Amino acid sequence: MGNDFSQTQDLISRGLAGFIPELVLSALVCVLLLADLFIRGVKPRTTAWIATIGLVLAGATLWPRLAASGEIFGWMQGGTQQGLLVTDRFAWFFQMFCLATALATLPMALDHAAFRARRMGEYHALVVAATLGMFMMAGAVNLLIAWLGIEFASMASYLATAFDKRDRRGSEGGIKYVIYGSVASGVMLYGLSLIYGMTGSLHYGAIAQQLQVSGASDLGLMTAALLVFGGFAYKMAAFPMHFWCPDVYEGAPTPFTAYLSVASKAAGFAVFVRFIAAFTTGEGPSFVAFGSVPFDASFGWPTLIAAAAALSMTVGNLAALWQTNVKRMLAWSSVAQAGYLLMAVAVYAAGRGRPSGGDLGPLIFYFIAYFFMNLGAFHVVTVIASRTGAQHVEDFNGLGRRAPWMAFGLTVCLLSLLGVPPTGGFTGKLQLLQTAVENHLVWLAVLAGINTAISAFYYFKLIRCMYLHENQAGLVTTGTTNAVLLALLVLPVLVLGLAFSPFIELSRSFGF
Amino acid sequence: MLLTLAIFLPLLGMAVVLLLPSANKNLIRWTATAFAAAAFIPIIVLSKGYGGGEGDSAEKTLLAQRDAVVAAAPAAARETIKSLLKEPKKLTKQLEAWSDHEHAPASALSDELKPLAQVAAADAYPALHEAWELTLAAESVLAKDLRYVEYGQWIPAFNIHYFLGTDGLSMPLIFLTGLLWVLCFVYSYSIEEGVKGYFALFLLLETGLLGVFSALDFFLFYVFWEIVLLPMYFLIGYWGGPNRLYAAIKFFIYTLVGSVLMLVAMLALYWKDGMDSFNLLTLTSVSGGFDMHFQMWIFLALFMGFAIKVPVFPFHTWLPDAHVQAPTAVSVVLAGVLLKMGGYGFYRFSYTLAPDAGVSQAMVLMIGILGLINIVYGALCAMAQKDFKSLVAYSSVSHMGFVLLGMAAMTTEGMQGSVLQMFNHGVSSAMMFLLVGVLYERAHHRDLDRFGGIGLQMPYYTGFAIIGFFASLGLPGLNGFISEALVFMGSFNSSEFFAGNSTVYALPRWIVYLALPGVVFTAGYILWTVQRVYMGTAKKEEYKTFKDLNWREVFSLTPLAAMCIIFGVWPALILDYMNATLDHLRAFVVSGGGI
Repeated sequence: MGNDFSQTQDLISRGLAGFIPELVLSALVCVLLLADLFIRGVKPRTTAWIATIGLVLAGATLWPRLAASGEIFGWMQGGTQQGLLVTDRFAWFFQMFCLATALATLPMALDHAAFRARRMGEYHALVVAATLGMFMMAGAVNLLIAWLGIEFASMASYLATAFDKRDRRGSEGGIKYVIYGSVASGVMLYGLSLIYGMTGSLHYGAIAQQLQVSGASDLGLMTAALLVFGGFAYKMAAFPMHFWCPDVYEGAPTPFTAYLSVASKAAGFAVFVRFIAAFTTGEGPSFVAFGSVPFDASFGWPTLIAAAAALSMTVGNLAALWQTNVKRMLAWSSVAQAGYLLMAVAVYAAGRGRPSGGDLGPLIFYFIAYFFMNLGAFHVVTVIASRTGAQHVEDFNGLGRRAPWMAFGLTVCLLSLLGVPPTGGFTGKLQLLQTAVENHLVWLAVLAGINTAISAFYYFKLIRCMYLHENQAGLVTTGTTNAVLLALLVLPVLVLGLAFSPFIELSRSFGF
Repeated sequence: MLLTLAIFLPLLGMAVVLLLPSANKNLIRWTATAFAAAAFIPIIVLSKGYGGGEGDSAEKTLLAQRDAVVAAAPAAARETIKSLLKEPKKLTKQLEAWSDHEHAPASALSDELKPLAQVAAADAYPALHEAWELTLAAESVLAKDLRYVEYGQWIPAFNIHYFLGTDGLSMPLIFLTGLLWVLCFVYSYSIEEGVKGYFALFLLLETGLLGVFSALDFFLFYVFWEIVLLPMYFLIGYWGGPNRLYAAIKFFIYTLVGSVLMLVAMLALYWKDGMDSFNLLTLTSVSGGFDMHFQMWIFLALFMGFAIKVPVFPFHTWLPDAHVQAPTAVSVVLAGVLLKMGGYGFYRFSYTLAPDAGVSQAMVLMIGILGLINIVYGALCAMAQKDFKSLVAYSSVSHMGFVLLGMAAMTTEGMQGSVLQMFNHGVSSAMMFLLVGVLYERAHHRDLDRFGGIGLQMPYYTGFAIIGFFASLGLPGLNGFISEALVFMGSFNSSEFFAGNSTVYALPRWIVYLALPGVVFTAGYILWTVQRVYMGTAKKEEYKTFKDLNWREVFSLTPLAAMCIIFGVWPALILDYMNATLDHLRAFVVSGGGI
């Protein structure tokens, strides 16, 4: 008994040592809330600085984990270690990614008109809390922790979406987000409970082992797979759980929309990919337990994911065509982007165990490009909206003359989202298509190509307004900070398009 | 270096133009023209040099590169690599096993490769791959004629190279591009609005086009191909006519649809048999071994990309819209060289990468029949137009049909005529658009029925117009006649030429018979136009105040008119450039990729 206790104590203390970045973030949430409460007349800038310092500190403590590997908060069971979280390069990348997104959106939030007159400590605390949830998502190897991370990130996101109390659309978006989120979470939890019931374990490795040894009811597993996928799709903003996306993106404060569209999606993909990695073997395109039954040979994760990818990109792009609100348009565009990204996951799931398969490089490369191009686009939208009140596509008329650098930056980002060379979006999409073609998903690559052409319509709608439509309104002054942030976001888009060779190796190294 | 210089001088010019003050319009105009002229200088040197047999052959350059690569390989692997390279095609199959060299265990490698895996581990693979690529490239049929080759690494992770060169197929088009830009810039001095943006985008367009015509790495080609789209979109969308936005996005979307299919084909080739290569020459020397099914898909995907650009019926509808809305100089380069990207693509990529598919029954019939439709339907549409510019646009559809017809025939004369037609159409259609522009600037409308009697008012202008329109009509003595006659000769001969040849499907004669009336229709709409616009008496009083050509217009029209006449009476001047290249290409395709 005493031995067990000391062993447990040992596990926890070792776990905590590997959990420092998360602890820093937790502390930061408290500090921000307290600063907001106790410092009289605290300025947004002050809490923003606190948040910046805290996030940088978390990043600094996260850095050494690049070299770490292994599961933390684990115990030995049946000869294998079963942890709750894993620390590896893959988790590290997505944790750093979410951290960087939080950092990049801080100055955007300072610039956001509706925020200027408000105490911002709570907002910053919510963003940091959401980031903490995403940290858990990126590292989860336990069904419960995965679900907990998703819930934690979602809770903070609901509140931040409705942060501007006076904005009715924000409140509406928040409520819709809560309702969709609860449904998705419930559905997912049901699926998880089925898996737990069938295998008696929550740990990915143990579940996979159990499935291989004893198998399980195929119908049950298929049901569970579909239900769980619903939860993941909600987080990735992918078909069929994408409906919340336009309302929430439109209603949320634009800086938070930027954060959601990048960090939340990335964390969703991270938790999903890790789940997939545990649940597919190298035996070809088939869900572990489905292999035993003939009719299931054609069904499996790769098929499911490929179908979701195809539908996401098509639905997202077709819906985006009809939008006149810029944020809604970008929301649908992000649904389409999730479709492109899912292509890489489908290939990954199909290719596990094959010598050339299991390469997550394209996914990670595209996320690097996506970080810059999507944040860049949202940055310009935030800046212009807070100065001119622009919400609709027509409000961007003549921006090419009124704010030439902002318009140029937005154009580069949109072209990159569209996937035109020489931008990072092109080289990223090229790799996605390349892996799809290599792994015999030519139909999906062709569909993605056709989708690219469709998406040109709406990306160019905005570009057209900026350059080809006249607007006699005066120049828009944008300030130095915004210009610097714009340059920091837009230049990498071009670098990734022209000299992407080192980044390919880099992004490959973050796979597992 | 000459090609790089020609491609990137306009880009530099764009940067310089962007830095100039917007208010000083003349400075911008002259600077832009100076850069276009500067880019034309290396092009003239290249043309002269190529014609005179100068410039190192691709074979020599590539083999020298290969030796350098082998010399830089790990010492222990060098001898093995050298011995393996003696049979590069055999090596192709073995490389497949090793293409995943990071994952594949050494035991999975073939006996020949085994020593390599032991001595140099993964370090040897890049060197071996590059050396293999270069050896095959030097052996390919294209290497015989390509000269002024430039070769360097760009993205090593994907074996993407900065690989340029020119041969008899691309040289005339590069020359035409360089010339048209100078002429168009001088003509464009009348642009008053957004001068800076106009010239900057126009210079970027030149970079894209010269890149397209000289890139030999498929990826590099694709990048340049896409670069052409953007400036064109803005040039039509900002400086165009009343319906410019619709025309601009239609142009963009049509071309993008084609190019993404091209992209998929490109990737499929890259992954084919684990070759991991974008090198056009390398792919060409192994393409004969691709199975027919694969070739068909490649050919079709590439066909979509290029056919939209040509444009081939039924993908031609963007063209009249774009032409009618575009400002004059943009129409000139659109008809003059942008459409040739499609025809060039067929010869450079489709037939080299899918040679068997190109001469299969389905493809020959498809290309032949679509060419026939282009010729006849384009001419009939042109005849029905009320808008002068729209008429010229449909005449382009009709004339590009000859390119397809000659191509489908696959005979010596047919191919010569077809490629020559691209060049000739580039000259005569550019001239026609300039002529329409000159008239539009004075009359501010393009309604064919409201003109008349221009010949009396503007005799010099009418003189140029007669040359341009009759060259387009195909009057003997002018350039259009030569290429159209060659196309008809070649396509008529096809069935005789390939009689008894089981691999090549000869173009049936009935297609040629049906295409013949196209010539009559062409004569019909051109003569009718000349009559309506230039003959008779002025229908409006204001026409009597029209001034004849100014110096800028004379400057832009004279070289084109001269070329119409010179190449009409002395076609050998340009055919000599093309003959060797086209003969080699033809022999390659007819022999099923040399295998």
